Amino acid sequence: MGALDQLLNGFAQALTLTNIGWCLLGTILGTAVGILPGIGPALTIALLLPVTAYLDATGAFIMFAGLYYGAMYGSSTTSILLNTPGESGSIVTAVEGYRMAKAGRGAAALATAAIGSFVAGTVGTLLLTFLAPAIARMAIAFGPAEYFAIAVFAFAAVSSMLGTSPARGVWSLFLGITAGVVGIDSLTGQSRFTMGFPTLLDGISIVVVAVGLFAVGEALWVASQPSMRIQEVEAVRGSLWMTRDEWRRSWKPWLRGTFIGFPFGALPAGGTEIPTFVSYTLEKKLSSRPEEFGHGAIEGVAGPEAANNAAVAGVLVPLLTLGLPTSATAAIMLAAFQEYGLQPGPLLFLTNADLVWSLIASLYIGNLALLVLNLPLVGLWVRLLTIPQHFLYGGILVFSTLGVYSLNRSVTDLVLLLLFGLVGWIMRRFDIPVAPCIIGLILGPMAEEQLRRALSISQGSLVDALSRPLTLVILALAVLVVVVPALLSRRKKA
Amino acid sequence: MESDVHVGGRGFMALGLATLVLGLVVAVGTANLPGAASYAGVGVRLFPAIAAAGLIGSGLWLAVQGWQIRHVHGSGERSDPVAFAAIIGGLVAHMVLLETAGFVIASTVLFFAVTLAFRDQRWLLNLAIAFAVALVTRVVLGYGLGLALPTLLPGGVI
Repeated sequence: MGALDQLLNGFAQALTLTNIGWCLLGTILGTAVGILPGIGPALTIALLLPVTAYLDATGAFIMFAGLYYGAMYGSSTTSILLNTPGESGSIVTAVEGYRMAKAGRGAAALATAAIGSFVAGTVGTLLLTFLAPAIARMAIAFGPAEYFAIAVFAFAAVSSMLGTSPARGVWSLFLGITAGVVGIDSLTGQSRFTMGFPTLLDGISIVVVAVGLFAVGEALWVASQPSMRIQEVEAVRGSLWMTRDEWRRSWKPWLRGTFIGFPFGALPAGGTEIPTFVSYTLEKKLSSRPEEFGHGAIEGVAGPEAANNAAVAGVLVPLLTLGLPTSATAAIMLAAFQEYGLQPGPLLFLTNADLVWSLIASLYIGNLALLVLNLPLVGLWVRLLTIPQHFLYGGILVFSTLGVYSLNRSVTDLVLLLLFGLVGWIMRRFDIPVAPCIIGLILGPMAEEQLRRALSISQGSLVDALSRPLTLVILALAVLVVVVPALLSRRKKA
Repeated sequence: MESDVHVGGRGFMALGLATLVLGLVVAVGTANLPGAASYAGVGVRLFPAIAAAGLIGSGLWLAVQGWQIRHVHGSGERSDPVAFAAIIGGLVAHMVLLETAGFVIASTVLFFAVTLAFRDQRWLLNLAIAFAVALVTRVVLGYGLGLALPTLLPGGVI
């Protein structure tokens, strides 16, 4: 059966009244939570994970599709109206979008972001539809050594390309890898670093780490910085219907952004931050009015927003086909799959084809729902932004502790939540990226398992294990990902 | 290293050294792990050893970078220790109270502690809102989704 037939089957599953309801609910909840300042998509999904635990797997993943795109769009709205990007992919949106809002063109900025996200999300999902099965077929030939090499590549990419310095990226990565070794060793059944706590036998949950780093860390950070306690929300002014000129200036950046964003997301090369900056720089270069950039140029919102959403769709390619999360949000999605006893990877397309294709079909539906729901509801979203910070963070911490406690009904998890909250505060204080830590935690155990399997096959010879041609190519790419940015920045300084 | 960070060189040195110590602790823990090598030639100690080495290496890296800019002061504002303590206190109180006094009381205390951290002085109003949020959450999640949450009175709402 071809990808198109499978997709139609997926639509048949997703388009039941109940499932459409879950998708719409996911979109609304995702936007509503994602819009809250300081809450990015990764935390939105982590916080809402316990809610989906009561659904069957298909319903839950259909809701995730809505949550995923909803949370992304919510973050853009906060960037435009509050100048507070909820995640790194929205930083550029904040630059031009907030200026547009200040200049009374907030509605146009929101509209171009929403339509651009729809265009990019739809094209990105279309590319995912046809690319993912092909990659999954190829990946079936992958052995443990290749999977280990891919994990090394992801480690190299996230720690060298995210954040402001490789030292801080590596610090964050190894903290995650260290947290990942806690618990029962999957190959021998021996416990490691559990310190006598039964809860730790299953390892440190990704939800505890993500909620600690993002929610508790953010609450501690905002509360402890007096200057951050005051926030000014820009009112949405202007018409949500873009003018002919705004359409003319937006459609090319949407398409260019889409084709810049998708490959960055699909290759495990560091998520959404880089493509949004590339798109912004390109639009500035191509614009006939470059002087408007920095003062509210619509191209500067349209291009990066499309790049962001296309990268978000692209990130699902390595996640679904290789089981490889390349962003913090994807890592949480992987955890959600694991909660349902599913392991994303090439075999998922064979063993759970119905589920995968209904998830992909839901991405189309979620994208459309986003466009249909979000612009008319913009007034409601703006109201959410005006919730006083002390109530907002009070509520966030109540929901965070509730979500974490309900995982295992264990106070040990709450202690870990506090510890990771403190680490999250340190990361903000030292400007250390969070994503490498999350990826180290989730990919560390996979890398360990695959490396030990590869070594078992090669009777303990590391050279034999890692000298298969494909493994060598992937490892060489990992080296390039570290060396090239370092050389480029050295050249820039010189 | 960029100078536009919240903390200066000394802060980075402190973080680097703390990471180094953590790395050494993990290394000692790894050395004490029982486990014979298998066909793979390596066993349960392999990845903890890599993690320890990574922590020691990145700790040293940060400490050296901090040393190189030890004269640079951070550009960030001073943290408000009271706000910090209020949130930590709220979270610790929540942990202690959750299984003894129940979800509603523990969450009310946590929510109220956060409003204190943000220096909002409408204490009674905040306390009432904290209680209302905790109660509504308990009712919606407890009865709506069937989530079993600890209560003060067995079988009660609170």
